[in-house]
This record gives sequence, structure tokens and C-alpha cells, in this order.
Amino acid sequence: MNPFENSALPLDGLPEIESASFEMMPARYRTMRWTVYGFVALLALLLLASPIVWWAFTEEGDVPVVFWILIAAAAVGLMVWGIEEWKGFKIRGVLVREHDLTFRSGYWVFEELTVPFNRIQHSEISQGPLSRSFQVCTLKLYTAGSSGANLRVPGMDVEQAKRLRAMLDERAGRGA
Amino acid sequence: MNEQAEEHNMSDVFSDPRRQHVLSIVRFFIKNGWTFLRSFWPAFAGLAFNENIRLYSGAAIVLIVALLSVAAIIEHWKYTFHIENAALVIHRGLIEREKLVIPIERIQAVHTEQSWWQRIFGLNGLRVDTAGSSGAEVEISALRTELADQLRHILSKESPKTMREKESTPLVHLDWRMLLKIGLTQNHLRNAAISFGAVLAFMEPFEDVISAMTDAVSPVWKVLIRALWVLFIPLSILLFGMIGVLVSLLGAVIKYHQLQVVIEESALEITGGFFRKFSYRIPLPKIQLFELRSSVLQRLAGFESVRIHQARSQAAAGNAGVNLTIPGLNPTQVLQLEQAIFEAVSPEVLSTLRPHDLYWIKRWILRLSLAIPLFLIGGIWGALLALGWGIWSTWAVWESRNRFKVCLSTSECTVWWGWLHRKKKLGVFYKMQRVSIRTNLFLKRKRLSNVILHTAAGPLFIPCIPDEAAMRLRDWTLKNVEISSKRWM
Repeated sequence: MNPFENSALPLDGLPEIESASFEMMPARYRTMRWTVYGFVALLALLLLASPIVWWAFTEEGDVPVVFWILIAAAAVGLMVWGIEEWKGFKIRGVLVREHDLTFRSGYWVFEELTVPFNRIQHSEISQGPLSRSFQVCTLKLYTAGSSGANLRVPGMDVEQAKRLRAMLDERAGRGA
Repeated sequence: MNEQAEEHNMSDVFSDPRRQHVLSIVRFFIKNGWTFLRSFWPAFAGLAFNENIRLYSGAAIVLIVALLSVAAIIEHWKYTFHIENAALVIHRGLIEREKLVIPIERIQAVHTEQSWWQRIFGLNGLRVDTAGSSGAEVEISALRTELADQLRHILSKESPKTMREKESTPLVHLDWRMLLKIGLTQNHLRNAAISFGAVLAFMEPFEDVISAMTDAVSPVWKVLIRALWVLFIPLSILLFGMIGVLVSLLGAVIKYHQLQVVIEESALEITGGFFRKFSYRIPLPKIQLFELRSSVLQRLAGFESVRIHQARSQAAAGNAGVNLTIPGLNPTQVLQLEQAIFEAVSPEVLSTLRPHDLYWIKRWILRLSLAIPLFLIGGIWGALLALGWGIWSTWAVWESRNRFKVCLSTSECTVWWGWLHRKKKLGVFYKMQRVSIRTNLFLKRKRLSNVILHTAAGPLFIPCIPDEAAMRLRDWTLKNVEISSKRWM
């Protein structure tokens, strides 16, 4: 019968998820994220700076206030994102235990999501052109109950993701 | 032996491929017509503006109707079904032929429906829900009632014995008195507002006609109306209220007429309906969340509503109709239903969690901030209204704070919330799909987290509890999921 119904499990004996045992994402994934950040920042700079330069050369009155507000908003947005990248990357990590997988992420909003292996319906490894050039991929795990992937682990090493998937398939084969 | 022979005979009826009743053509026509309308609505919108399009619209409509009719006839002809090797086999497809094989053991639920037109011709519709990861759902829309019953019994693996037994012990059977009570305790204000909105939307195209009518009113009447308009206010409020009550009553009758709930050994059978008769059979393991709702009026009348959340598969996620509401249950019936759905629930509460006061302060500030624009630009009346809103919000948040609790037992998690509209949501740990702990920078400093327990039918949200409790709850849930070998769907 189900041992759970005996309710004899001491709470202190529960296996805990220790923060020290999380495995960090590969360093090249950090480079990839900073590349995207730099590209977006450059684009924002070009988009906002070019009208100002144009104004300065044509000398047709002052730059509208709305424009300065837009620049300030972009600067704040980029700063918040930058801090997320800088501080948040160290938090990003994945922990694979015997029966489940946990992914944690986020500096401003922190989330630790755990999916037990015996609830996974199917898994997927996806890789876009950028991730391919950095040799990383996104592992997606699907459980029942909502559309889309329920656990996305971006920036995983391709070989590692494949090994993990093979393990999941093997477990699914013998009923987790 | 007799039962086995009966079952065998029933299977024989469906051993050869057969078509639906010829009236399924109507159903195919309506279905295709609706799909066509939805896909080409911009073209129809163009009809209203473009003279050239309007010129050919008559011919185009005739052509479209003819095409849809031919398609419906072919579709009816090509759609066959039969039972072969313990599987329901369906051949269908207008242009591309499709063969669908659904093993009977994979079928999760079989529902029958009968709308008014089907009732006239003695027909029934059958919906087969497989809810696996494929999320396939098959509809056989027109079958003679006795054939539909037979097919349903074969597909839902009901033995004739249980079919006869279940008739005798309904948990709920709504009579006219109960229906009246349910109708009278609904949200009349919302119903009146919806019907008022519908009337306004319906009247918009006739604006010219209405203004012509008002112009035709004699000047004497106009003067009289101008003088006495104040009297119309209580009258219109009364009318608005009456419409609300009437709509609620009508809605209750249409939805819950002769509603009957029967708990079987492994399934819940719900039948009823006024215009559209339905019969849902939900296997108990498929039920993931149990929700109890009650308004002030319903509590005064001594009953509550139960909403049953069924599992959603990946592809079927977001589909409507996976949740079912059973109104008019007294506390004993609620308990019976709860125990039948989640067998071996342990009622003993081991621990009770409540959100930290910061959570309520945040909600209070959010509610108050809604009145800021009114306070700033509304003058003295605006300020008074904002003050009233502030007092009401403070009271409401305080009452909600006192009532919110999360009760944990060894096998289940129950969340109670709400003040005027009270709700209770119950889920069992072993059915959870994933667990999430979420916090932000501010809550992190206070060592607080939100826990979200995801079931296959939606989440249970436990806000703002101490980090340690959140982690314990997460670990306990995972432990239950990982060691459980029970069927969760």
C-alpha cells in the first residue's frame, strides 16, 4: 500500500532542496545574455539618440520633454535589466535529484520551480540560431494542466540536456 | 452471465461501420457555417461599407450556402464509426481522410447532450473525451437515443448493473423549490447589468428608428417628462432590479433544470438542463480540485455551490467546459461529495498557515489607490465618495484577512478565503504537478515567500508565508507526489 497513508514521515526527515547544490549555467550562456543585452542597449541608444542629433543640427527649437522622459525610462529599464543580468545570473541554477528537477532564477523576482519526474508528460530541447552559436539549449518539461512548457531551463549545456532527457525517457519507460 | 451476454450483444450492434442519423447533416452545416463566419468575418464586415461587395452579396450567399450544404452531406457520408478490437474507430474527413482509433480503456469520459432540435427528432449527441496528452475529443452529434445510450455504456465501461443501481441514490436532485431558491440567490446586479448591456448593444443599430420615435413625442409630453424625470429614478431602479431577478431565475432554470448528481463507485454522473439536456460522467480520479463557493444570500438560504475542476491535458488546456458547477448543496451533501471525490482524505488539520500582514497592507494600499483620482479631481462629492470607498476597503480587507487561512493535513491542502463571497479550494498533495516558490526582493528581506501548488486543473496559491514554512510545504508536497503510485488522472 501507499506508505504515505501511514503518515509516519517525520517532517525533519524530509529531503530538502539545498541552495548550495544547485548547478550554475555555463559561462558562455552568460556571454550570450550580455550580448543580447548589449545589442538591445545599442539599438535603444541609436533609436533615441538619432532624433536628438537631428534636432541639434537642424536647430528647430528645443527637444520635446516627452523625449527626455522616454530616454529616462529607457535608461531605468536598461539599468533594472542590467542588475538582473549581473546579480541574477549567479542565482540561476538547476538541481537534478533522484525524483525531481528544480530550476531557480530571478534577482528582482525570484522563483524556484520543481517538477517531479513522474508528472512529466513529455520533454523538448529547443535551440535557436543564437543559442546554437553559443552551444546552449533550452530544456522544456511539460506537465498536465496548462498550455506551453511548465518548466523552461534556458542556457543548458546541450550534452547535459540530452543526457537528462535520456534519463527522463528511461524513467518514463519504467513508470518513473 | 446474462450481463456479459447483454454487453456482448451491445458491442455487436457497433461491430460494422455505421453512419450517424441523417440529421447530422444539419449539425455539420451549422458547424462549418460557424467556422466559415469566424474565418471570413472581415469580408462580412466589408458588406456593411462597400457598395460593390453588397451588389454581389445575394449571389455569394446562395453559393456559400450551396457549398456548405454539399460539404455537410459529403461529411455525413464519410463519417463512420464502429467498435473494433476494444477500440472506437472513426473514419472521417471531407478532403483528407482520417482514421481515428481510440482504445476504450483510454477514454476518460463520455458525455451525452440533447438540444431542443435533437429532442424533437429523438436524437442524442455524444462527446468522447480522451484527455491524454493528445487531448483529442470526438463528437458524434446525431444518434437515436437508444443507440447513443448503448454506445455510451460500452465506451464508458459501465455495466448494466451499475446503470440500474445509480438511478436509486442521487446525491442531489433539484426540484422547483430549490431551483427557485438558487435563482433568487444569484448575483442579480451582475445579471441585470449584463442584460442591460446586451439590450444597449442590440439597440445600437436601431438608433435612427429610436430617435425618430422620440422626435414624434408631442411637446406636452416632453415638458411633462422634463418636470417629472426625478420620479423615474426609483421606477427604473425597481425595473432594473426586477430584470435582474428575472434573468437570474431564467438562467437557473435553463442551466439547472432537474439537475441530478449521482455518486457512483468510480465516477460522478451529472444530468439535467432545460433546452439542452446534458449528461456528464466524470471519472473521480480526473477531478483535481474541489471548490466551494457561497454568497451572503446563499448562506442565508443554507446552501453552497460546488465547482469541480477536472484535469486538463496539454492540448486541451484553455478549453472551456472542464469545470462543472453543482449548486444548492447543503453542508452534509458537500461533505459526502468531498469524501467521494478524494477518497481517504484526512480531516485532521496538522497545521494552519496565514499570510503575513504585509500581504494585507499591500492589498489595502492597492484598493485605496483606486480612489486617488476620484479624490483629486472629483471635488467635494468625489472626496466623500473616496472616503466611503476607503472605509469600505479597510473593512473588507480586515474581514478578508481574518478569514483567509490555509489548512494542511497529511494528505490535503485547503485554502479558505473571501468575506462576502466565500470560497474554499481543496486539493490533495499526490495530485500536484509542480511546485513553485516565488518571492521578490522586498519579501525576501522579510524572509517571506508565496507558494504555488499546481494541479492539472489550476493552481492553489498560498501567499506571503515564512520561508521555512514555504519550503516545508514544498518538500512535503514533492514527497507525496514522488512516492505515490495512485492514479492521479
